Amino acid sequence: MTGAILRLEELSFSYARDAALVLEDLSLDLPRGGITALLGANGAGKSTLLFLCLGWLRPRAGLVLLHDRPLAQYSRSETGRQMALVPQREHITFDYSVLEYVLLGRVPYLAPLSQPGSADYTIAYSSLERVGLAALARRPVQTLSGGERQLALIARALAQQPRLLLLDEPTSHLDLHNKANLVALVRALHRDGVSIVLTTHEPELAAALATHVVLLDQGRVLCSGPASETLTSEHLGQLYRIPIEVVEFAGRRVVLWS
Amino acid sequence: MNGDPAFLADAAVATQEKVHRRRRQILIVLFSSLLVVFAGSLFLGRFPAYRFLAGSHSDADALAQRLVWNLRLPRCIVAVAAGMALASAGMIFQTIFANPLVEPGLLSVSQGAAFGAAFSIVAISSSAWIVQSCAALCAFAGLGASYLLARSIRYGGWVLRLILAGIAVSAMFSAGLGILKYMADPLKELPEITFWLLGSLAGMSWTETLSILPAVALGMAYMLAMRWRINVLSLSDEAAHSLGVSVQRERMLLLVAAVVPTAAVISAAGMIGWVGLMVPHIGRRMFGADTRFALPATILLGGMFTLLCDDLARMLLPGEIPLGILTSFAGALVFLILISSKGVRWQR
Amino acid sequence: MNTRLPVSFLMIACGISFLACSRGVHKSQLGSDASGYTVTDALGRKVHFQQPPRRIVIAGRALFMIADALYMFPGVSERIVGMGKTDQGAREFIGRIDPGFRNKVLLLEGAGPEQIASLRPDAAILRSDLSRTTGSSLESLSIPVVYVDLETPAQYSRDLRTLGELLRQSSRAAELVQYYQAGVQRVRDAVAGLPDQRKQRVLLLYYSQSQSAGIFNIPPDSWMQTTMVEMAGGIPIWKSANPGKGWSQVSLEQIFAWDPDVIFMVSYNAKSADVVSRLNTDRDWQAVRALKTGRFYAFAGDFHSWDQPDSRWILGLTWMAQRLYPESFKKLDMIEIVRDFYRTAYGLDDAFFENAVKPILRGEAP
Repeated sequence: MTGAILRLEELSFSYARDAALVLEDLSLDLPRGGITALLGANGAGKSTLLFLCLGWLRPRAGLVLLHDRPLAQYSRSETGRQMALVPQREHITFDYSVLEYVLLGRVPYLAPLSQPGSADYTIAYSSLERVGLAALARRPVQTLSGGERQLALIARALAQQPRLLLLDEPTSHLDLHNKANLVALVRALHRDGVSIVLTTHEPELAAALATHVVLLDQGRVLCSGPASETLTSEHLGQLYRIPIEVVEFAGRRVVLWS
Repeated sequence: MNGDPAFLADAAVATQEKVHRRRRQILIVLFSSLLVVFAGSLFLGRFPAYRFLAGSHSDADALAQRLVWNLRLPRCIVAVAAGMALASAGMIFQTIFANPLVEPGLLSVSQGAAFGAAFSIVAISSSAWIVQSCAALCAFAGLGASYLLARSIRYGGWVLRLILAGIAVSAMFSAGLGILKYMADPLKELPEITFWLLGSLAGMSWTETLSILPAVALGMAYMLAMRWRINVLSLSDEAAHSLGVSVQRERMLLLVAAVVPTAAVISAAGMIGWVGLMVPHIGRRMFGADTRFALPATILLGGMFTLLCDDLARMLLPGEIPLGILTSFAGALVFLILISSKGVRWQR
Repeated sequence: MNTRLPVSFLMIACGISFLACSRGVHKSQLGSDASGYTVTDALGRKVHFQQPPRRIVIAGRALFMIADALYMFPGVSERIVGMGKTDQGAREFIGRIDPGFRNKVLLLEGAGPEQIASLRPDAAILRSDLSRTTGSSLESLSIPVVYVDLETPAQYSRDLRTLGELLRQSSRAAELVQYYQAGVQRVRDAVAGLPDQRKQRVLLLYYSQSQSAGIFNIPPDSWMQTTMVEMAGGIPIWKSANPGKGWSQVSLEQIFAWDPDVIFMVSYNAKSADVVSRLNTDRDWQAVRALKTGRFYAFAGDFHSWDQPDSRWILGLTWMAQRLYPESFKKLDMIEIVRDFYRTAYGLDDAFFENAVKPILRGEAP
């Protein structure tokens, strides 16, 4: 087994059959046990890449390999047990309770015709505890605030007990307090051995959280590697086309712009 | 996990199980109520002059016996089956399309079935099997056309697109239906079509019961088996996919399981509206959004509701009131009450 | 609760299906006894009776057509226990010839099978288009149902014979059939040998007041009205113009385009004579040639308009033929024909004719 949990080999993708290619010949290694940030401007193809990793979008050419096996060889529920997605936001129509909502994460472990048992409920509840929402278990999901909803989505993903967690722009609508919460949570998960891939357009988040960073510019990988190597002033300046300064301060990388 | 957190988790799970037990008890109560209403319906009617047919009466009187066995029993069974099929189809549609205002009619399943059945009556044959197959075929055609049309609409969220497409396709089928009505024999075919467009269970016999029972039973057995998994299909495509579900396939299968009984019921009994829209709302109000309990509840409530409406349809006046009129009226009434009340919370 | 729920559900459904099958079998096994007699009805069904029914129910739309046919058999009024709601004309006529009429009508008004059954009938006579609804419900209650059509002259003769079989009055049925056939033959003979150029081009319109202005309709090819025009030696110019199987609306423009020789106006609700006189003064209609030549007639009738497949269709036919070819029918006295009709068909004497029928005769009389 290589050090990459997910490998993308020469991936090409377009949304419609004869539309322009959004991604072309893209190859990427997502390291096992790390926190990888896919950093890029809006519309750079970050979410597309994430969905390709998930297997939701099918590439025109190229392969996605999970644990060095092509994704297509996994059954659907196996993929669900390995990878979990935390979507950017989710519109919730019906008033499930938080616990019932998180319970849906147990789907990959249940045969189509069966109902969840008490073991599943236990795991769902534990996930809620992990993200700190245990007190809200019986509340309707619709009454949760934005930050709490995000945490509920993460809890649902955790209920899948995945090896790889994919987060799509997890902090884009969070205030500072919730952002800090989320960063702490992701670090905790990282310590527990979960591989994490997140997309973001905020270099500060990448700087705070990521062990590895991939810079995406219009469907192309600008550079990828450990954060110390990729999060540099020149790379970021190249990506955002404004003067950016990355400095070390109090043991942390800080991104200065404006 | 050990120590305190495990204890908390167990406590939470225990509470959850208590909730489930309560819900199951209420389901049993609902089921018993259905049986009671069913038994009552068998003995109430316009025969003889008084409304109630006493037990002793029915023993001695051969005609009364035949009435109960050959007329009322199949009719009540069809009423319950129709209510169950329509209500569960409504719930499936609402969950899959994540929209509480959807019912099979909106996506032109009803109109398609109506058109198919009318076409068969006018142009092919009035035999039950052929009418039903035609209705089912056109119901699926309507659904498919709505879906394909929705994909080519440019603007709006996908639910809006689907509803717009559904309205367009429904309108086409309505127009076709209008032409068929114009061309129909006003003495032979048109009354059949018209009465049937308003929905009616008059003339239900064992033959019709037998013809719709397989479709309804199979469709609903599948829906019941999948009753928890349906929840997942209300999530967005990516989320459902990431949970390890073949989104398109499972949605398609469920839709088929919902549309086939609906088409069968519509072809036999005509367009009975509002049951598919309103009963799922009541089911969710009483049992929460989790279809694991809401679906069986909706099925039971749908059966009861339709049976009660049909009882009124045949007892209120000497003649037959089309069932669709009563379900629409009662359905709209209940809906108004539901909307205006401040959310009566039942067992959660 | 894993698969128990759907499985138990399926089992209940299976049980009901089994029950349904067994009831279906049971129904078809309602056998016939050796004694008694069999009646073959309009749908070709063989219905078995031990004796002539004593409690007959007639139900369905436009049932006055069935009633008028039935009342041509003597002694039938005691055998009828229930009739559905009928229109004014029927009430007038049948009310006069059957003193017990009121009791029969009050029982049923657009009834369902249950209410019909509560009369405990031993026979029901329905039009064949009710076979799938009311008819099948009554049959499943083991109430014998006899279906009739009574829509074309051929069906009329056939169904009269059916009713005769039912009431064990076949000789009376033969009499009536003979009367109708003689009437048809009289008309046929008079218009036989008419070359096509001399045949009148006829338009029959039905005026209905459904919107603020009235609308005019033509009948479909299959209906009695079209057949009658042909039998009377006319050419129904609207043939093949009606796409449906019911009344179809036509515009004045189309009427101009057809340019008929003769126009007959039928109206069931408004008085056809009023309609005709109104149209005669209408500026648009005055340009129609048939109006100018004075060949625009309100269709005749008494209790009912004579154009319908009611027992009076023979009167309608005769009257129409006389209107079309008066030279061929110079010796025909319509009043006498009507008097004879009521005498032959219903056994009603001249007094009845003078008091009840003559005053309400409408349409162009000679």
